[in-house]
Amino acid sequence: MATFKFEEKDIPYQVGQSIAGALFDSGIYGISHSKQSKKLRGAFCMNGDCCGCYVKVSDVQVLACRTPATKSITVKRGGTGEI
Amino acid sequence: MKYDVCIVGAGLSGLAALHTLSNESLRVAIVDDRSEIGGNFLKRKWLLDEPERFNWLVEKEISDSVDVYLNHEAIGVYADESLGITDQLSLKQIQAEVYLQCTGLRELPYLFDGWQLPGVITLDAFLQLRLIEQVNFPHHIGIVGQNPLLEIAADKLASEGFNLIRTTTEQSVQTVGNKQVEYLMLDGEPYPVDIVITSKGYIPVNELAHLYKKPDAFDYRPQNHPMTLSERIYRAGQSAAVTTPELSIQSGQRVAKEIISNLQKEGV
Repeated sequence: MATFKFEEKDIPYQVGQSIAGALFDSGIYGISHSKQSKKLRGAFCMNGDCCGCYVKVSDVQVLACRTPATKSITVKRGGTGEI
Repeated sequence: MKYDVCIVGAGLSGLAALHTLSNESLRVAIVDDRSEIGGNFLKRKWLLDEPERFNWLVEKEISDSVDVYLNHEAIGVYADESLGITDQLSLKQIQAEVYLQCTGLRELPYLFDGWQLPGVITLDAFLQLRLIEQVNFPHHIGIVGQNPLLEIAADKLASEGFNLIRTTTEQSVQTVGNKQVEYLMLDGEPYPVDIVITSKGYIPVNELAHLYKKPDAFDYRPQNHPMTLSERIYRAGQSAAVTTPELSIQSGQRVAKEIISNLQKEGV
């Protein structure tokens, strides 16, 4: 099964899954850091509305729920705003 | 790009309107922010009794004369009232005689102490993960909120063998956990859960009508007056306060017929 890297871990994914979906499938819910409260945040709405799932793909901040998982990308926790 | 009709939202009502409009020789564009047509119906059809009654609209092939803009979000209105859409990389300008808002409903989550914890998701997020992305779910699931569709989803999950912690409106609800949700506190008593699904209901997505200077987003016209105060924007489907999928399709067809007759009056 194809994988990508999240915080040095290999995460398997199926075709059609977003980054947030693949991480959820692996049991990783906290995928983003809140800048305000310094705590972990996860995908809440999977719609792109809540902005709780910002991750960094090649140092670019994207929404994990709106970004399809692709092979061999390197994903790191991003920073959400004031959530 | 110039069109006669620009439909925003490729859900049931948008596709029904497209189906009716495609019988006329009109230039039609349809815009949707997802990567496939079907809209919220694809997610929420699991909760319907007979989803196959609506499948024909989604499975219908769109003719070549229709321009389909998938992965495009409508983000603004130019001074000449043309619509700006973007795929995050480029900006396109769509000039149309009329715009049809078929944007559907957005979920209103029920917020409680600890809703921000990772592992708390909305009902729509659950449906997206389970039905579209085929994610396997953990066994212990908390259910919080008053959305009637949440009850249907919970009944289906219970029949599939999931262990559900259901809450009522009288209970005080809180989630606690270190890095993700671990316990659901009901009136102070802890219940171990892996994830929590929360939902309060739905509200119409009405920003487009708002951009076209519809004065009050919550001032709904009665259903037999689908035209909003601006004469260039119409609304159909659940964003026009229609409640069921059947009525959604009917309202799309009815508004499309009204658009056709109004355009014919103007001689387009």
